[in-house]
Parts: sequence; C-alpha cells; structure tokens
Amino acid sequence: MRTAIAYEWRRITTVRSTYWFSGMAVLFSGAIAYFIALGFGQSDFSSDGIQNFLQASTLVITAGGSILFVPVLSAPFCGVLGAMSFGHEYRYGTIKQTLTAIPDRVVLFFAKLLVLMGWLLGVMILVVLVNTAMGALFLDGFSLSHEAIRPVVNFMLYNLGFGIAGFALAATLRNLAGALVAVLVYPFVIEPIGYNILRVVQLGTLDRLANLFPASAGRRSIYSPYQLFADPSSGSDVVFHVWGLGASVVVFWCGLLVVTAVGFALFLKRDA
Amino acid sequence: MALIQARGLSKRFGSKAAVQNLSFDVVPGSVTGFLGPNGAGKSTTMRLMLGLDNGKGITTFDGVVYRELRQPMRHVGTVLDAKPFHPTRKAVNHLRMLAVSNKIPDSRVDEVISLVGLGDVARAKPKTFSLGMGQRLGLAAALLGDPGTLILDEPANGLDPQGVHWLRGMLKSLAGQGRSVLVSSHLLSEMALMADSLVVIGRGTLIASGRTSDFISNSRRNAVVVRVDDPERLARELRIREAVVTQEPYGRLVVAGNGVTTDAVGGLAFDLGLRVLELVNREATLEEAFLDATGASEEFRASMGFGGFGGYGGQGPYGPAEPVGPPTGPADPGAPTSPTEPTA
Repeated sequence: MRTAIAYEWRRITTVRSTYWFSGMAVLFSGAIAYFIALGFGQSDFSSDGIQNFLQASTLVITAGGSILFVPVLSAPFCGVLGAMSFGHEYRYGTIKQTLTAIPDRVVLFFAKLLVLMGWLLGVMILVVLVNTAMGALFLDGFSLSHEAIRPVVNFMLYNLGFGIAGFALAATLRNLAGALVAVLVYPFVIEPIGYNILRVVQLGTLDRLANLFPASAGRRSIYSPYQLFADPSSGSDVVFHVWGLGASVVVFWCGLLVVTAVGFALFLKRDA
Repeated sequence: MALIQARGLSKRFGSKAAVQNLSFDVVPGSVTGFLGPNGAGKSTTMRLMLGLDNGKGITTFDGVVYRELRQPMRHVGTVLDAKPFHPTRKAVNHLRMLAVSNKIPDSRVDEVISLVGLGDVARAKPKTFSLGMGQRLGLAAALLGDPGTLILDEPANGLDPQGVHWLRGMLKSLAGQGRSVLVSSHLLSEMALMADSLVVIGRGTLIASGRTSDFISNSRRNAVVVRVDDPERLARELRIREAVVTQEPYGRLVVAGNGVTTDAVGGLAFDLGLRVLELVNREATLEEAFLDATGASEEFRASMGFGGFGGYGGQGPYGPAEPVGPPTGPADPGAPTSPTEPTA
C-alpha cells in the first residue's frame, strides 16, 4: 500500500492541472469570501442582529456556503480533481501501465482514494485559511466561535465529497469527460430540478423524497444555523419536511458510499 | 530469467471468442515473436497473461502468476500501448512515478532514459514526442526494473529504420543475457531477423509455435528453381512425380512439393540427360510462411503440423494437410503454364 500511495502521490503532483484546479478552488472561494467580507464590512452587527442570524464570520469562512443562496464554488473544482484522479488513467491510456506496476486493484483503488482525500483535505485547509484571512482583513467584528466549527467542518467535507464523487464516477464511467459532466450536472442541475418538481407539485408526503437527494443533503449540512434555512417551521419557504442535520449528513455520505462502491466493484470486475 | 508458461488462455467478448484455449511457452534466452493477423487476439492474449483482462487460463512467470509477483516491474517489463503517458508529465517524472511503485531507485531512471536514447529530452513533455520517441519511453519504462522477462506489444511501431535496428539489437542483447522476450509485431521482415522462436495465432487459437527456422522451412512456398535446356520435358517428368511446377520467364521452373530438393531435381535432370543451367533452393520468407499459415480460415487449426504446442516440426508443416501435385489424370505435355499459378 505504501508504494502504491507513493506512486499515486507522484502521479498527481507531477501534472500541472492538479495545481491549476486546486489553485482555482482556493482562488474562487477566496474571491467569494472577499466580496462577502467587503459587503458586510461596514455593517453594524450589534444593532441589526445580523451576527445572530447570518453569522457573518461563518459565512465568510465558508465562502457563502452557510446560507442557502450562494453556491459553494470550490466544490466543482474538487469534483474535477477527483474525476482526474481516475479519469486521466483512461483519458491517456495509462491504466494498463499502472496496473502492471501495481497489479493489486484493491490496493490501487484505495491508494488513489487516500491520496485524493489527503490532497483535497490540504486544499480545503488552504481554502479555509484564505477565507479566514479575508474575514480578518475586511470584516469588522470578524470573530471565530465554536459555533462556526460545525458548518466549516461540513463545508470541508462537502468539498471532499465532491472530489470522492468525481473519483467514483470516473472509475465507474472510465471516461474523464463523462465523469466531469456527471459530477457537475447532477448536483447543480438534476437535483435542483427534482427538488423544484417535488416542491411545486406538492405530491403529498412524496415531497419528502427530496430529503434523499445526497448533494442537496450535503449542501444543507453547511447551513448555519441549520434550522433557519432547512426547517420549514423556522419560517423559510422550504415546504417539505426536512430531515435534521444528522440525517442530512448521513444521506450525503450514504450517497457517496453507494457511488464509490459501484465504482470499486466495476473497477475490480472489468478489464483494464 | 523467467520461463513464461501460458496455459489454456481464453477470452470472450460477448459471443465472440477472442482467445481460445491458447497455450505456449516462452523460454529464457530467446526472442519469441508473437504473430497473427489483425484481430487475431495478440494484444488480448498479452493482457490476459498480465491479469489485465478477465478470462480463463493461467500464465506463470517461473511458476508465479503476475498478480502475485512482488514488485512486478522487477520481474516483467511490458509495453502494451504506443503512448501510455500523460502528455504534460515530463518523461523523467513519468519514469520516476513508475519507479517508486516498485521501489526502484531514481538513479535507474537516468540509466534507462539514456539507454533508450531519450537523455536529451528527459525533461521534455511527451506531448512533443513522435510515435517513435513514445515507444522508446515505453521501452524505458519496461526496462526500469531490469526485468528477466519482457512482454512487448508492437514495440517497433513508429520507429525509424535506425530505431528498428536499435530495437532489434537491444532485444537480442537482452535475450542473450538469458532473459525471456515475447514481442508481437507486424514487421515480419524485422521479426525474421529478430525472433528465435515464434508463436503464431489466428482467430484466437494457436496455429504454430516453435523455432522460426522451422516455421519458414516448413512453408509450402519453399521451392527449387531450376533452368534446363528442355524445361517442358523436365516439367512433365516432375508432374508425373507429383511435384507442383510453375514456369517463370526465361525457362525457369519453380518446383515445390514433398521431397522436392535441389538434389532430387538435379538428379532427375541428369537422368533425363538434360543440361542444367541453374539450380537453386528458394526458401520462403517469414512473410510467405506467415501468410500461408494464417491466410485462410480453414487453416486456423493448431493441428496443421508445425508443432502446435509443445513440439517442433512433428509431422511436418502444412504440406500433409494440403493436396499438392498434379491432378489424378496424366499431365498434358502441351498444357500451357502460367508464370503465376501452379500448372497442376
């Protein structure tokens, strides 16, 4: 396993695209954090209570991820990095050479996954550090509280999950372009369409099926405070009964587990 | 220095059998050519041998299957694709990446990259490489672990004449060091110079395996060329003796068939009182022998002689399975002969 990890580490660190997409995740996230910090920079949190409801500091650190309306811009780049992890092997026909160097497919699969997760974790730490710096520099009253830990951790895990999804989709589809399309279109197009259909049509209790959308569930896990944006009783316009935070986290990771298990099984079964 | 033993290799793609019960050996100290028409199953067989494709059968390298080899690149070097690398990863980084997977020191990377003649472009991106340079990089990867066995799929593709010459010399040198080299190629003239042994397959089944010289000498295209002062008479007598006679320009006769040798033809001419002006043995080329072996579907049978698995030149080559010589009736002395087709 150690040599397989060393191989995969050298593989991803010797192509420039790894740095490009990692850098773009940091850059775009940092840019959003900058604009949010700048936008709230002159607000008087103590008088309008915005700190209680929007938690501006958390909003900056998560680059807008802690409220409903802002897409997590770093996630697509993490998805691309994940898709490249397996997709490049098929795109450039190197999978056979890789498998002759490391014939144990179980070892290779998990070595790739571990290295990807390690790399993405590093990227997310950098993202959070840059976003925090934006808050510290441009947001008056910026503060770090323990309440920010949960949404920030889930923000990092949400991005990590995108990477894993891209990885698993590339292993499943054996096609870089297909994996990229899937990892970008599904969470940002397919799920929102399904969500809105269920919301508009209001098919009785069937609207609760929207709870099973993994990407949306993962996205909800970043909300802060969770109840404000996810729970209909809080007065938001979300009409279906939204499961609690813990359930959303479970749905998100179960979705990732399923797609990863499919990719793993097919990688073991199919010809190189 | 591994003995490769492939046994019962089989692979189906849907209803189509790509490889069927294929068995052969590759012995150390030799270059073994792996021949077959397009779609015969050569690449599939190589992938099966390395466990890259799922199928039936087993291939061992000194008794160990590929997936169970520790640090496999130190045992078996492979080239399976013409350009198996990321276009923007520097050549040296590509090799270092592979090296670390099998605990091969980086110093070895510098050695092999010089060995294949890519020292000047070691830090270049392979997207600028020609096909031949890509093949050289693939060979460098195969040689990284200084393996006792090499399995190379069309390694000469894209190489210029100097490159082909270099490849031939290198593979023969490696075989001379006691390594086992299995190499597929469509360059039959090159294979004739390079390969000590052959494994010939067609439609996924074994047609022949054995020494290259046996394969060629057993071709039915081997013939004796003779020129005498009365070719019509000699041709008639040869046909009576069930030889296949073709007349070429300038009165040359090309004589083929079982037992046809320069001694026999010369002796017959002497007995007939003919003056022999030219008498020479014309040996088939590897290409001719290969086309004979694979040219027709009904010949895709390992039982056609030439050894099959485990035997060299057992019952004789393709001759016994194909009728040769004239029709059953007496030959017509006045029948015209064709320069391109046997008169029989």
